[in-house]
Amino acid sequence: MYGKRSKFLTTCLLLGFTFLYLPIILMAIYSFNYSRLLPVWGGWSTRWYKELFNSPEVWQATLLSLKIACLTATIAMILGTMAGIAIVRVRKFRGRTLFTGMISAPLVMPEVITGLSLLLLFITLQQTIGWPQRRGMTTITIAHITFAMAFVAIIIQSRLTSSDRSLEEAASDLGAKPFRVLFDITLPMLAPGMIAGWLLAFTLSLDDLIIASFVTGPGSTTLPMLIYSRIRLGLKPDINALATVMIGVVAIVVLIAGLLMYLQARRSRAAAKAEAMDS
Amino acid sequence: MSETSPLISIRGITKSFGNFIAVDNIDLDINEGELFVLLGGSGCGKTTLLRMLAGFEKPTSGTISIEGSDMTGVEPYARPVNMMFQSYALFPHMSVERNVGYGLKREGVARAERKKRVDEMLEMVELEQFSKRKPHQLSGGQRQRVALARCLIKRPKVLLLDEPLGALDKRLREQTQFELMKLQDRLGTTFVVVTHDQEEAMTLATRIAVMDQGKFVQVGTPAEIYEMPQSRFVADFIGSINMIDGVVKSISGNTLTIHAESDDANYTVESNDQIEIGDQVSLAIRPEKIHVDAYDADNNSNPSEQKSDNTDKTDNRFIGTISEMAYLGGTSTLRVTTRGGRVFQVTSTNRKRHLTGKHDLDWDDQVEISFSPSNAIVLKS
Amino acid sequence: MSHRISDWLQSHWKEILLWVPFAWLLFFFLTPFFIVIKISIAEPLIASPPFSALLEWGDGLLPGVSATIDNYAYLWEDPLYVKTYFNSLQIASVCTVFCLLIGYPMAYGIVRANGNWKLILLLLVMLPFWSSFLLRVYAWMGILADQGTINDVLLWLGLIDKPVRLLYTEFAVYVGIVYTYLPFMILPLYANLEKLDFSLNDAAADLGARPTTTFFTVTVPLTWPGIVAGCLLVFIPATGEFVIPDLLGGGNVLMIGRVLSSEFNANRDWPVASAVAVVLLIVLVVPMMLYHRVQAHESNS
Repeated sequence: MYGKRSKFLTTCLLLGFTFLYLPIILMAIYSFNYSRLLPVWGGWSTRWYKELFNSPEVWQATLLSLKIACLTATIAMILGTMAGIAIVRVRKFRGRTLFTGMISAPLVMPEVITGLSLLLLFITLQQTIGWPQRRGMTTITIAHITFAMAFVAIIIQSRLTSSDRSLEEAASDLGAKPFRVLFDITLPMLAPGMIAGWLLAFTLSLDDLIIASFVTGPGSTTLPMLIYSRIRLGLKPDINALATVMIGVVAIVVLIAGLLMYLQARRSRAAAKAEAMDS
Repeated sequence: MSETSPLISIRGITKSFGNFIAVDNIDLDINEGELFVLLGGSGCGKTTLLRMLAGFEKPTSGTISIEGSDMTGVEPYARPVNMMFQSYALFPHMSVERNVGYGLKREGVARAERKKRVDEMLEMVELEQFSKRKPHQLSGGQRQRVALARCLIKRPKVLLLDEPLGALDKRLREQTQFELMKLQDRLGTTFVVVTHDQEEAMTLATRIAVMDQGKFVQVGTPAEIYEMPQSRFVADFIGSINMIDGVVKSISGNTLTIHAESDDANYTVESNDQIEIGDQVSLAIRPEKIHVDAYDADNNSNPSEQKSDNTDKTDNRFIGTISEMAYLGGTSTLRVTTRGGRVFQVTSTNRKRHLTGKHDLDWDDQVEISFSPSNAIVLKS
Repeated sequence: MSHRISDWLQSHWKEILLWVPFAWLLFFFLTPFFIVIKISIAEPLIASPPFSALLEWGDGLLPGVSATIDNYAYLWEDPLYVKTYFNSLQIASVCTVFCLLIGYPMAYGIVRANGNWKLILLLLVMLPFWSSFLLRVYAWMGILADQGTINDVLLWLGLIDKPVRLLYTEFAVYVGIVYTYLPFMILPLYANLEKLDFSLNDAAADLGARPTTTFFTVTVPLTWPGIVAGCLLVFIPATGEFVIPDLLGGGNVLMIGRVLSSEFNANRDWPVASAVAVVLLIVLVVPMMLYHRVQAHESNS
């Protein structure tokens, strides 16, 4: 990986990644254990996967979580992109400090606080205007959008500040009005950031337990809530199976995305090289 | 100025960013068909002035009018000028064709007409076969041509170019300079170019404005700027020059005698400026205008006599030794230290081939240097 | 789109861009905090909702205000709460230090890796982040349990003869927090180190500095913003952590996130839970503002 002079760095990386990955790998191995008692090895089996796929509870929770995550990601991407552009492009406005503060706070805000405060808001709203009548998918989605949009806004903001302002100026110089420039230049320029933002918001939503458990209502159980209630009762092989499936799906998606990016980069590099030879 | 009304007229324009004054009360007229160059070091305000012409910066005070109509409050997209950016600012997600056609599309030119004009334009800049490529698949020179085509297709009254050759390597830059001039000549579009490179400015410009600290120091043709700098700053900034500070001792007609304290020598110069005896002035002389000859001590009269000889007013003649020398191929640059202790930079042309590798002149040789009074410049500031 | 709408958009798009997300955040992020503050000074009631209304609309024109600081006094008087706050801060700080000690060399190693390796390693850091946090904590339960992997290995090696208690101890909580928050430390450090000009290291070496001297006099000062950002990104959320102490610490580790949650859900004492949240927010407000400043500074430069 490097020259021989950085054995130390290689060792650090090796140990670090072992620390990060060993638990996941062990969990995956145990998901194929036949025994009901998790620590006791009873031979290889796919029994827990079968049980997992036959459980309507799991399917329901997964479906709800996916619905919420899709909605959250889409709306958070839109709102976060707007916020990111506003922070960078509208230099002066009243309440700028408050706005930027509110954008960066959810990144570090302990989830218990966010969850509690949003629940109290929903209850107050229900008492005063009668909405939301009952808590569930809608309230969870709203809560998720609120913290996920901050992450999107940060991504957009950093892409925009590092981007070449002259592209937008050039469009305007060539006769495009500001709104046109936004659609022709700014948004295409931000597209990769928006996609990254969408994916991030999606996983944040899919992964959230605490905020969802605060703002949910009866009958709305998301996947993390289901997992949590099961593992509180102790180690369960079917949870290992579920974990393996989830992590496997994520790993495959990320690997495919990474491969596509790599291939595209290589293709454009090759094209550039061919071009250089032409001229 | 000329009889016809100028294409661009700038009146009392000032731009400040907080306490910093980037452009300080500038007046300027640019005529149709000119290739006008704004020349200055970084931070002198040249780019800010250009950006005000394009409409990206709003002047703090003053007005800009183009073809007689006031540009105040006119947004960049509505101005009859186009700008070529230093980074070219090609839209990375659009093909060459779409980049070039973008301006026409915004004007609402119909598709067929647009296609025709884009093809014409690409042919002019010799990029027909690259029309489907994306900007990142082009070389630096090709990108520069796409950027140029994208501006010119809108047939702007004025084309603004911000360091147009800055991103190209030296060889390509020289070649492109001439292409740019040919193109300007052919289209007759007025060009306003910003650059920090004085050679580039001299090559391209019909007129140059030298800028410093937000002000114009001198405006004139390249020859005027080079041969008749009006200030020490301009004389120093364009090319190299020897500068001698002294006091005017005597005047006869347009011939002055200047006495320099530091080397206790007298210099003779011609000048038509209003100058009086006792004025503090600087004498400037370009290195290539100084003549250098080998000096043979035996065949000449006493050098000290020669030095104090004020009767010969036609030539400034000094004896010195070569203290440094750089062989540059076509020319050599010498530093000659006179007996009075002044160091002159002298450029001498290498007319003969020196097969032995030995030159006529070498380190520590005694030489005689001289320059004609009409070749020196007198600067009051 | 009709002409009038498009004209309106042309001239007001910047306001829309700004005000839609701004309004959302004002309503769903800022307002709730005021409600929390309001409830934290209300009296607990056995009712639904279980607190007294702050504003009583009586006969007069102005509403009467019934506020109490009892809830805060209660937190102060009960040594359990004070101890829990300190315990949370202590656990969070120790974990932050460990994350930095593990994360810095890793980030440095990734930055110095060449070409494709760099991408792969970076992806490997982010991968766990994209997978379920809950399940990663759960994985540790299997490792730390009395009959878990560590004990199995130690028994098999003959180093111990009966299982060591690892799960449901403070140690387990430390491991869990360091494990889950490590990527949050590595990523800002990586972003910062990536911008570093490594010819500076060569220059320092050329001037006679040993590698360790170079590291502490050149690299560390230049990556200071990344270090601060990474530490805060670990420290702040770790202080309020709930799941890790709950699952890995059992009932044995006191952390404020757990206390808040149990006040709220189990005891249904909303005013006290709100007061706990307000105090936690006050404790964290300084590091949060620090983080905001680092963030703003980074995006400006």
